[in-house]
Amino acid sequence: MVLAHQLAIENSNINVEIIEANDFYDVASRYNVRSVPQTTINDGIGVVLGAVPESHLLKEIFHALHP
Amino acid sequence: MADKVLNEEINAQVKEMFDHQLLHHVEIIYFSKREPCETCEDTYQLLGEIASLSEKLHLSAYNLDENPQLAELYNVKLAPGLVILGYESGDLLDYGIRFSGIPSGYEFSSLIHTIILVSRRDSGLQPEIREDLKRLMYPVNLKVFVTPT
Repeated sequence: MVLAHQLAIENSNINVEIIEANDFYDVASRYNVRSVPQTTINDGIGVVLGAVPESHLLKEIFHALHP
Repeated sequence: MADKVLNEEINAQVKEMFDHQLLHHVEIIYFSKREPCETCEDTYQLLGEIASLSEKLHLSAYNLDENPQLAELYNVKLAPGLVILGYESGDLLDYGIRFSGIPSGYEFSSLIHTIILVSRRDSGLQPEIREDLKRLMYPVNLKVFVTPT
């Protein structure tokens, strides 16, 4: 997921972990991953399913921070 | 000689991308662990092959269990774990970019592109997205779960 990394490069408040769900099944199940890609924001205050355009991901991040 | 992970065609493609697009040096820190780790060895070999394609890429390897302070500094808890760092005036530049697990399949190309972006110190995002991102003042952690296919 290059998009998430692009956000991390642009804004130093953002950090990104790409996690291989098969390698870390326990972590994936802790975050209720049922399909990939899944983007979990701040350990669960928001979740984005699927590959989405950058504007959509950004909107979800702002919405999670300021519901 | 051990078998290569990358075939000649991929090697040539990636080398050409690196030759044309890498700008500044990039440090790749790889973490393994002591207990059995199914994909650690393959990941390390893959990274070695990638790093050998450009003199701007530097690979260092550590063991999570033997280097707990370094692992904590970079907030790496899983192995294989990767940290992709830039350089600015000789100092490491941490954008907060981590990979956990072997970057194979689609994530291989994701890793290559991320290395290039870090090397160029440029997100490549559209101007309006960059503008929107300026409003983001709070710490955000994104965990992106993927599979190789």
